[in-house]
Amino acid sequence: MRIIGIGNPLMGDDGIGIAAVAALEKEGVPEGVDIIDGGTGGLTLLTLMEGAKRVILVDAVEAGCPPGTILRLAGEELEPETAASSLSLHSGGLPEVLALGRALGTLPPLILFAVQPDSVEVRLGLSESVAAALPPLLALIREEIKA
Amino acid sequence: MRIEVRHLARVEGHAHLVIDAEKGELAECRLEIVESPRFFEGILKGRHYRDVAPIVARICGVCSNSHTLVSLAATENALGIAVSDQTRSLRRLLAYGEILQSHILQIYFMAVPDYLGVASIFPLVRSERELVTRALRLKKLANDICLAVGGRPVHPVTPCVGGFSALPLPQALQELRRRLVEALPDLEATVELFAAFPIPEFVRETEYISLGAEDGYPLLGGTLVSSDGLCTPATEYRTVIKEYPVPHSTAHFARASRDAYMVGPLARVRNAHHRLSPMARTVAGALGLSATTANPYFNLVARLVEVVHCLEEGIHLIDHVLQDGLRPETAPSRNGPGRGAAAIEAPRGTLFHAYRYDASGCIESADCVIPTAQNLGNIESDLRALVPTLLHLSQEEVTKRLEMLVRAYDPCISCSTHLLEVRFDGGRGRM
Repeated sequence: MRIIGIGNPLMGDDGIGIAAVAALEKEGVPEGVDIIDGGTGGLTLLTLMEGAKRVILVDAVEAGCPPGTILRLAGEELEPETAASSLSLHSGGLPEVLALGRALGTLPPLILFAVQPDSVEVRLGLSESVAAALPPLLALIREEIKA
Repeated sequence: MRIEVRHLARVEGHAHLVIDAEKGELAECRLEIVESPRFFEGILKGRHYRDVAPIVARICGVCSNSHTLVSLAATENALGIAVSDQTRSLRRLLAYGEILQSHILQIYFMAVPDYLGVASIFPLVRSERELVTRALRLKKLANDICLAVGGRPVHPVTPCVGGFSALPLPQALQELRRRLVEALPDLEATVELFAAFPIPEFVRETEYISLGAEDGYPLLGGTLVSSDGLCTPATEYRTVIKEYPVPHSTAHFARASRDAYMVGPLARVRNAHHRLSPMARTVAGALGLSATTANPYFNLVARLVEVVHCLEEGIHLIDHVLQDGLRPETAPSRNGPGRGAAAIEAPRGTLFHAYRYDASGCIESADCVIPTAQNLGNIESDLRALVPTLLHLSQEEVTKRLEMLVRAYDPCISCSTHLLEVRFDGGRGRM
């Protein structure tokens, strides 16, 4: 299994995915679990997921929920609605990466833990509400590892 | 409940062109694409020099290694820290890994759809599956160079002030070497593919700026050179590169000897054609790229030539490092004060960082100039010269040619895909 954090810690709450994988790495994970800091590597994400039996992605997602809300998305909930022609690989949208992986048939079973950010602006560190979501987020990821 | 899955905080860009179809010229051109990060100094102020590179690594997911390496070099210059030959070789290998990552993505996922006449890579997944899997194979190899040397596939962790905190394992380098050799047929297939593409004809000479080739193909050199005869220490970039505001864009443009200049693959190939690897020189010749090519669309060909160069030189670099044997090194500990600057050839062109440290080794001031910001003025000058030459074409074809031109520069923005807005004013049917 692979756990991949995505996002940019220079952009406040967009760094929640990176904070989560950094915490997991520090606390330690069972053998056979790879922790990857995917950052803002765009399409690189596709090659990072390649060959994994199961992937957990952690990212900040604008879902219109209260800040710090954690959502668990899987299967059809991750079907991108974006048109294929809007593909912008260098900026590296998750929907585009998932759409391409799906078209190629190379996507492993996928779970996305999405955290609603409070503010995404140039700042190091998470907002209070999103920082408070980190412990329950880690607990959810650990449960998923056991499953 | 419908949830919109949308990635946040990625660099967004916008390019807006209005063509006066009566006069047959570019009436408006707004490349509101990208700026050298204004937050740069704010986010670095007060940080200790050991923390600076890991922070700047996050500025860009595509050029993360370049930001890291130039940041380390600027800090080392500021604090008077010398690095070993081993460090220089490993840094070059890491930088080549990143150039490969970025270039392969651009040539296959941005350029190939243009030249095969499809809207994006998606239709090709079905019709040209081998092409897409070949692209991903090459991309994965490039990732793995960065992983082996930089410790991570995207944002590197092992490069540090004075050298590397952890060295790649010799076995990992041997394995990489084997895979680089194995990738040569994929490279040949790529060259064959591109040899068949008709590169649009358009010539506009400009000033071509890159680092000097004193220690090989331009990468982390000490001089800044140009086709107009500029030759100056790279640390003094602010004395030759002038950024200036333009009324129609929020971004600043840059000039050196003329109104605009080009950085990136074509500028590098022009300035250092003689330092390309033998295979890269052969490919350049076969594809019609020389040290005098002045067609900006040939940035694409130059990118492919650099892919060949990085792969071939990557093999030699690994041989060199393995022959010498990897030796652990202790990074020296220093305090400030000090000021220093450095430049690197990032995938898209010359990238500059400059820092001033206080007595405790913390940042007092910082500066950064990115390649895409330097190319904006030149892209606009190209577009102005190009539009009147396209009058005989359909509006659809004009739009495509303009998009392809912007994409040839590989600006680090989403508008390098299909966000270029072109409006035709006053046209009837054809322009």
